[in-house]
Amino acid sequence: MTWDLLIDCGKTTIGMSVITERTHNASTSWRRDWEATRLFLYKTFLDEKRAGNWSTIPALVYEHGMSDLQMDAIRLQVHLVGTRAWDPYSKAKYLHSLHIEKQMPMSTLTEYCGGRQKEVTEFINAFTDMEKYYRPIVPEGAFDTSRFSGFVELQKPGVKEAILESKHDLTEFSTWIHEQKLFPLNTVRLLPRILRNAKATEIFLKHGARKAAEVLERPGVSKALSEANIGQLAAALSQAIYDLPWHEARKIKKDPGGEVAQSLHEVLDALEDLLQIGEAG
Amino acid sequence: MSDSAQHLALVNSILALVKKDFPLTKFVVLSDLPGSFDKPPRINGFVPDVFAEDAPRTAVVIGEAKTVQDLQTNHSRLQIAAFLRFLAAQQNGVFVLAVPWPAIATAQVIVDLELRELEPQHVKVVISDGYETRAAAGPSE
Repeated sequence: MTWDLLIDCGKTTIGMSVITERTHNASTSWRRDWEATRLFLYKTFLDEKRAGNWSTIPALVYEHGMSDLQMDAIRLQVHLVGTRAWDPYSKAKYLHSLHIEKQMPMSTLTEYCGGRQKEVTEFINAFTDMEKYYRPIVPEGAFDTSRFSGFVELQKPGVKEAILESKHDLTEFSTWIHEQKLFPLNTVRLLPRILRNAKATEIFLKHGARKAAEVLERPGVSKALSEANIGQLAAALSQAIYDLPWHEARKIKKDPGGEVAQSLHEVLDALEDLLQIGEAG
Repeated sequence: MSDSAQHLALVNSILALVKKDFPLTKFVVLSDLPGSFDKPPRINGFVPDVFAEDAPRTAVVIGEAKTVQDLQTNHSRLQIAAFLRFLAAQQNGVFVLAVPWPAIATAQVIVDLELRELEPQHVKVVISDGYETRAAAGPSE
């Protein structure tokens, strides 16, 4: 089996594409590990005589002269913002490599990523923190890339500051992630409120964020409230805001770090996430 | 000039200042201007007009524009305090406050009062009237 046999321009029946570059001797070079992986899998399937046509890979062959930058641009558009997105850790690793190792300017990077500036910086910072603080505390082979989202949450304003203010550090944060004290990972968002509350902190350090959150929640949520669906709760919240007396609204605005304001911001963040998911879907 | 037009001009002046000292090759600069795709994050309950950071993070810039009428409201005081508190926790924070020139002295007093409460170690403050070319301090090497 040679490389050439695997290339069949324009064939799209399998619905895949690979980036290849034709070299001066008319063979096709596979420039990156990702493409080589696909080739390896096809060869394995062919050798194992698996059902299906594994003798060709649909490919778009670029004639020579394609720069690394052009290849990176295509890869970013396909795997970072395209329909075949990589997992978040892989995306972050690639963004980090492009910006730090290859020194791709931030403006170019964000342009290739469809203008998602906040996401790009969050991912690079999260990757940096995960490598710096989480990797050293996990045994070899136990580095769990699915914990990456916790480090993305860590980048939200107020989280790191709350950790440091409460005399903890990012190594401890990584330990909490590793020991699943911050599970599900979106409980990282609750850390500022937990760490400002002595009782909640104590419970959190023993049993994790989910248990600690119970202390933060207001007591006496009625049965009707807990059974209401999201539409009913949304309508009720809107109505409560419209009916809010002026002096109470003023009190909330005056204390943006207060319990009520923080709870409202959490709702706002959750709503923004939910509505973005709606758009993407 | 109306208040909103003046505010817009001040925000644009912050953007120009920030982009000059914190190049887009390294920094992401977000603004709360109408039509902005990526808005600045909410910080201690308030969304600033401009937010810039690099990755991995070596510096954070928060820019806020205030008209004369806005500057002395309680809301503005709380907002400025919230931003300075956030920046004080950073390794290298820069706060750019843009106000019309008659309000520069007032702005300076407000910022000084808040800084005194915080005793921040790493915050640099730039108060601009929108025309001044004084540069914000860049990230320390």
